[in-house]
Amino acid sequence: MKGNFLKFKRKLLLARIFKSLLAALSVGAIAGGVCLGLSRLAIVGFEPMLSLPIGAGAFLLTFIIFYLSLRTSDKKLARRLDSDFALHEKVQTALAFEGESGGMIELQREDAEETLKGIRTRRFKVRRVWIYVLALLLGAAVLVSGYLAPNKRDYVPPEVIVPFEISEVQIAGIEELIKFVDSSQMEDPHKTEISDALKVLLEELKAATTEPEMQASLATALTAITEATYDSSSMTEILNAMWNSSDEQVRLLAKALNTSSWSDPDWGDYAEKYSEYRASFDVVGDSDEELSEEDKVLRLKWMLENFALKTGNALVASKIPQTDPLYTSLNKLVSVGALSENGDAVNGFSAIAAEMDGKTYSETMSDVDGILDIMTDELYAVISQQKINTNVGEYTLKKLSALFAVPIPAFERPEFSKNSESSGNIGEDHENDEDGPVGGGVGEGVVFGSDDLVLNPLTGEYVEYGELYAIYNTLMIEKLGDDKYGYTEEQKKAIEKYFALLYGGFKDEEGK
Amino acid sequence: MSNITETVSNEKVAVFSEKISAIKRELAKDVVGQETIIENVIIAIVAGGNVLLEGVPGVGKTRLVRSLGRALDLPFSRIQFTPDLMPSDITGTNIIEKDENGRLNTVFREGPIFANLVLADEINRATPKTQSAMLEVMQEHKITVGNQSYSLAEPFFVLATENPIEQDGTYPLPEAQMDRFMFKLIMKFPGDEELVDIVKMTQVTMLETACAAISGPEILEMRELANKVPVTDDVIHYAIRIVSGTHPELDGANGTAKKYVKYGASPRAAQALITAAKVRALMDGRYNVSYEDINALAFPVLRHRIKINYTAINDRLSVDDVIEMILKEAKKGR
Repeated sequence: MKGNFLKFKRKLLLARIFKSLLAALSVGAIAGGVCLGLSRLAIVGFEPMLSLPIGAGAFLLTFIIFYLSLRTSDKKLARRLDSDFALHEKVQTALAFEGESGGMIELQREDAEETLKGIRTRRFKVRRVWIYVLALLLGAAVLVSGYLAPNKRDYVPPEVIVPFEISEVQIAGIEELIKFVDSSQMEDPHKTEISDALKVLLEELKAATTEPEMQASLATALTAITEATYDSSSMTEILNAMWNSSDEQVRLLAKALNTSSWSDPDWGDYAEKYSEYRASFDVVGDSDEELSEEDKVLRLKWMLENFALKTGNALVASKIPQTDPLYTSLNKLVSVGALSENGDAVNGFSAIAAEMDGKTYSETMSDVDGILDIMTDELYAVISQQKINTNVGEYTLKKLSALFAVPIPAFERPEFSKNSESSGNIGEDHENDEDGPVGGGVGEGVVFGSDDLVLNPLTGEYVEYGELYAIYNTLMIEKLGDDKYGYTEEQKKAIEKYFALLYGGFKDEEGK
Repeated sequence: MSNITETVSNEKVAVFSEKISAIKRELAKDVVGQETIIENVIIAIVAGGNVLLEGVPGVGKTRLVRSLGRALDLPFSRIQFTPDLMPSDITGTNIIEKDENGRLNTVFREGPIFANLVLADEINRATPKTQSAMLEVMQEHKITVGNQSYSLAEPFFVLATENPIEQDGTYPLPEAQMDRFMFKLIMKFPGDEELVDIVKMTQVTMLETACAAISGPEILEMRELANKVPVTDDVIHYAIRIVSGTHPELDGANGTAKKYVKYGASPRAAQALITAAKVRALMDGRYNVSYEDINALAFPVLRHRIKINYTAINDRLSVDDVIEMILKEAKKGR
């Protein structure tokens, strides 16, 4: 009986392992899936990956529990065989009398053995497998659900689309800006670029119905205006490169040309600083040292050559194209020379140095003064134009920023000031200049900030001082550019200087 | 131990089956249908038990027993129980007889009970006093007359019949006597087809035609063989659970018994169940007793041993209905 009985016992063992595995997989999947789901839904605090060891633990524990609980005794197996195959308790009887002998008992044992031999193990069905399969499907469903549960940890809330409709004030503001830019003295094509960008912006904003559309249009316009503004001035790049030069004279020239420092009276104006720069070529100066004519000539020559070389290097280092007006003017000063009012050719520094042989110190200094005189006005004109370009662009950006309450990055300026003798960050003067072309001004003895309200005599309304300044500045630029008003050049310079003073402000006796 | 107990072979079992078949074959000559009854009667005979046959008049109770008497090659006697039948009419009596020398001696003259197979026809028509005369015979297979006891030849069986209707002039069998019947078999009215066969058969002859198929010693051998059939403890416990379950007064009584049974079966019922089940198993070609044997024999073994109460009667339940309910409950605990 043993062998025939054992084959069923083996099958039962396999079934037991199979069922335990299915149950363990089910429970493991359910535990893992629930933990995964809870974790992904952020109901519990642990990481989703932790559901893996939890599921594995549940799997192991369940397997052990089921493996032990599904144990079947020989007696139960015999009973089941008798029941399943209607054996009339043959197997149970044979098992019960297994150790006994006797005619009838042996006959019974043989009968049971024969009967079992005739039954194939495949007919011995594994019971209730469907429950385990169902449990496994349930486990799989829970696991998949857990996996598919929205992961609130990575949840990005859907973007709330805020409706947008451009206001009348904003339309008027942009239209004003367009007029302002068109009437400004900003150079083309930069002026046209900014004006076009504003026109496109206005059309797009009128058509825009949502906040993202508005922001996209605004971002495009701000980018275009910013690029046009940067393109309109090479001052930052060239002056930064010059400031980084090791030559003091190059740095002095950079300092003189740095319009961002003109707003500070202590820093001095262009003329003052240009004079300071010019004075640096006086090799004799206040020195007590007695220099021979030959030494003075040699020192001057060295200075000129050195200045020409270092300035040339700085220009190259700035990576500004040679067609740039500031680049061209500086190149004239240090190299190619210029034409005097009489139309005479005047050498640049490098040429002066090259032709110094046989000339006295005084003669050479006269040549130096000649080119410096010619270039004083030209450099001022170039710098002023670039300053106008930058101010118009920057004002446009700030106005747009204020109109639509969007931040704009700080505008780049030459990275030095009077307090920053070495190359470095933007100094105090730069900070004071944040309001751009509308920074501070002078009333009837009262100091106004750019956002202080003042009466606009044109409309009878109170507006910010900076806004009123921009209006006046625009009118001034228009009128100075129009010959019918008959301003002389001297008057024009005086008016421009006055407006530059209003722009930069000044400090009173108390230092405000 | 006899040789039979030591050497049991397939051949002996085959002979057992052959003998059973032979009896059945012979009985079939005289009795139409009633296969279950015939089978149970044979089981009782092999197991050494007495049988009470109950049935309406004309269903063939007496014919079955008479035919059986012919099939078993054994001395057969018939006692027609009547109200005026006296115990001595059954057991026999001492009479004074003159011998060859002319002296008077007391001699015991055997009654009809002195046979191997006794038909107690309409046993419930005799008075309780007369019925009591059967108690010792049926249980101990001996009779006592005066101070003298007489053993009866083995094998000895009493096959009694009774009529469930015509209760006038009848005396219910006492419980003690009922308990001495291994089976109480109910002979149902035959079906139409069986009835046709019966009519045809009796047109030929009214006499039984069965021939002797088995002798007394062979029956004893078969009994010995059946006794060797192994029974597991589980099956024995099941049989005991059924019998115990009929006792409403016991703590572990069956719910059905508590509700419907007045008196439960005696321990003889459990003995009868197992003994008869062994024979039934062998007859079925098996070498072990199964639950099915117990279930099948529970009805003939228990139906005359338990007394149902008024609740069962009120619920229109028969004894067999109650037994079936008891079995259902017993199966649950298997």
